[in-house]
Amino acid sequence: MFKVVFTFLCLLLVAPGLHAQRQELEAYPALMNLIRGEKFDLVLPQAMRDNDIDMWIHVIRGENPLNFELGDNSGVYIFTDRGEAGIERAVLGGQADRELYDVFGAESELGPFVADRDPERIALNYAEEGSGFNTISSEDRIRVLEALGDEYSNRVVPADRLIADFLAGRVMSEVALYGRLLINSTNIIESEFAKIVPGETRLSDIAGNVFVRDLDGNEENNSDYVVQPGDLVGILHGASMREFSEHNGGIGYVLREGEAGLPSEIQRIWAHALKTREIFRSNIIAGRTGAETLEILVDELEQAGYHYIDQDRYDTSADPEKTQVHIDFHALGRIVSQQEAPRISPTGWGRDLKIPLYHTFALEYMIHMPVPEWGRGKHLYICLHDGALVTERGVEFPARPAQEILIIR
Amino acid sequence: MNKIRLVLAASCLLWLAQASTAQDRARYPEALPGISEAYYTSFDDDNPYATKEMLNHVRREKFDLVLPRVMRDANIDMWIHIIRPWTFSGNELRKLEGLDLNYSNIDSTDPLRYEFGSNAAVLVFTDRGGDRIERVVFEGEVDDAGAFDIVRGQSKFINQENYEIMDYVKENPDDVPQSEMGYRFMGLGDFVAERDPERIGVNYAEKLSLAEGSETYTLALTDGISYADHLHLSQALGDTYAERMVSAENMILDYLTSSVAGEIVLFGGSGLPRQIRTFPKIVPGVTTLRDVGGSWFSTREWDHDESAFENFPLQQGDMFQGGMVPYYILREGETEPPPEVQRSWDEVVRVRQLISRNIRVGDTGRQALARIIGELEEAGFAYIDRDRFDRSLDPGKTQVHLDLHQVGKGMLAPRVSPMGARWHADKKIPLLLTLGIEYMVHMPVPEWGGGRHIYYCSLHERGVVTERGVEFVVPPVAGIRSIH
Repeated sequence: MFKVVFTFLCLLLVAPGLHAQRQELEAYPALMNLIRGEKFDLVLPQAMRDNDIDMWIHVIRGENPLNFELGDNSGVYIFTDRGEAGIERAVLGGQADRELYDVFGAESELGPFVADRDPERIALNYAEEGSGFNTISSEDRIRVLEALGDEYSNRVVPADRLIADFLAGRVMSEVALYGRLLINSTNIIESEFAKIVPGETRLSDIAGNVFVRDLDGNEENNSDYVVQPGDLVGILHGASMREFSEHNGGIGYVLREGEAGLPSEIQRIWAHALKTREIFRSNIIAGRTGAETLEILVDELEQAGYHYIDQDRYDTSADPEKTQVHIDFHALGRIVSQQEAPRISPTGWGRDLKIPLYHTFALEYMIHMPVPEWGRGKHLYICLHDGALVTERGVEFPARPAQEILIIR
Repeated sequence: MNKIRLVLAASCLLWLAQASTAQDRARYPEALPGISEAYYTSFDDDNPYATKEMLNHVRREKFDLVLPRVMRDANIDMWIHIIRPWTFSGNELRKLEGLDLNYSNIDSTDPLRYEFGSNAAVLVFTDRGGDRIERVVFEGEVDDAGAFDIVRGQSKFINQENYEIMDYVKENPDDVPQSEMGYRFMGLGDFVAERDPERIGVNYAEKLSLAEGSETYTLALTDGISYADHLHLSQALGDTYAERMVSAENMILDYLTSSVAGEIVLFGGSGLPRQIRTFPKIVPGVTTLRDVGGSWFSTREWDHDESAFENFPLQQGDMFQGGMVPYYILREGETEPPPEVQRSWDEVVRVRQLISRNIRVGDTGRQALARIIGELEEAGFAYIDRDRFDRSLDPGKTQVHLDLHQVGKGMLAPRVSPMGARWHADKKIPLLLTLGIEYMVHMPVPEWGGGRHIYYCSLHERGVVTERGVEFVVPPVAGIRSIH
């Protein structure tokens, strides 16, 4: 009994120490309210005007991807562009933060409320493409359209792109939070690498998304594969706080017997990682769509002597002298909009969305470098995954990106 | 069983002690000595993210993203920055041997010591075309060698107590600098000639009273190289290139105040909420403002004399500030501050919103000041150019004083204020400026008597200037806290 109590108490004492080391972030209400308020003030007007929307009606019944931004309570949330007066925020039939909303009323007032504001284009929370933002129930949709009447229901358009833009826009308090999360995940990744004992540690012993590919491109992922000398190990690990999250990456090389540092081919693949990183940094700007940006990047990569691949798979038919590069720069920051957001990638509907200023995303790319002297099709593989931000200057790193391939002894 | 009780009691006490320590904020090692003072609000020692790794990261991002722009804006092809080595000598260095201290552990007074990670060096940045600037540590050591393209290291003659210098002098009697200080510049003439710059920025002040630009006591801004170093540098460059030297003062200010995203992350602080104090032991009429560690009264004084009332006993109905947080001591029967006190806070929030919407990237501080004054007056406020209630103004109008300025690098420029050296307000507001939102609101309460008013001072709410206006990275103070 004594031992049990003693052990329990020791754990109680040790736990705060571990907590402090990893600096768990606190989702304190003032910060959450600041982010909500600033997004309404700074991001919403731009998102509505970019999508040519005069009024956005968003019906919430319980869980919704916009609970954090708009509120948890059921109701009809209405945002109206009132010109110089800004975006009016109203809630009909629900309760919400009085500091964030200007107008409250009953749901039955919806028809006159809309008519009074006479919007040209009204966005409603449904989607015509496959999207997680298709959240209004058919019953609610019918009810809203009935309340609007023929004249205004004919002006209704899907809000999915507006929602994607609103979620993708970042304010500075979010950027600062994003940076803190990136630092936290980098610290975790480095501590996971430090645990690896070659010949003993299994990938499944390491936290995160852990992978090793052999020279033919076959992947072991979080399996019981035991880390061996000569392996290039990739770890992706996230950090989150409430609705905010990101994940970051790191790469380690396990020294073979007799090796004191990275062998030349490993140094060579890292040099490719840095060279391509600079190509990406210099060619991503706000205002273009993901698809347009991808086209530019592919062109730049090919001009620099690389072979672009649209799948993360070594292309055996390509020039064996050329290093192959795959790209998937997806959004980071808000959990609900990592996929349905501007994306510089060959996949996803977000590739048609414009990259906003202060877009937070993963500079995620994969390098497949052939090593012909090891045999036909043999190649090395690394995956870079660094949290980035688009500013007026191009791509910036709010926290340090991978600086090197870590050495595992 | 007794043993269990004993362990349980001791452990509970320990756990409670830990919990209370956590509430008092942790302290973390500084990224470099003294940086928490010089770069307060960004490298504070209670910010676990303000590490050496982040300092190195910020340095590299600034070299990549800010340096090319500031050099080109200032039309400077080469920037030679000399950090005076006068804070140590070879003898001093030897004394430190074995103390597990490195070069960077010795402090310096140079305003760019943290930017470059050095306390004694000759640094040369050259625009050789393309996207980046060549970064060379011509002489000296730096904390983060990977940030530079060439690090030649410390001159072997910097320590003048060794035999190498004696050998050199014997072997090269015709090539010995007139002063030992000149050893640092040996070869610099050829290095510069090879790059052939048209305009060479050097860290000396020409027009700006740089010391006036610091808000800290750790000399965030100082004049640069010494007269002696200027002579040695001129000699090393030779006539052709010495004539091309210009002051880098404006470019240095631009470099220091232009933030990269990593600096915004640090400016966002620890990610923990602002500490709100509780005052369980206030005895009205006995406990003084000083006793509770308050900053100043909001409801008693006329001229914001911070020292006048600190020993004055607190009374019910008083409002005072503890840092930026206003506290109101409720009177008997009150459950919240009275309407006039609440109204004063509404005025503070209106002023804050008005300021945040009227500061623009590219404005000079003076232009921003003029715009805000115009907006304040249109909104029914009275602007005052001193932080003193003006009895001659309309008693129906709340008076506002402004003193917004850069923070994060301990600087006062760019400054949106009527105060300070002219050049503070001449400086343009760069993108992602980390701005201390400092303003003072004096709201008259005529029913309390002529001239009586409620005062609130916002010191440094943390704002960042973007194309959208001012955005807050840390929640501003939410309201007045009531003390029961």
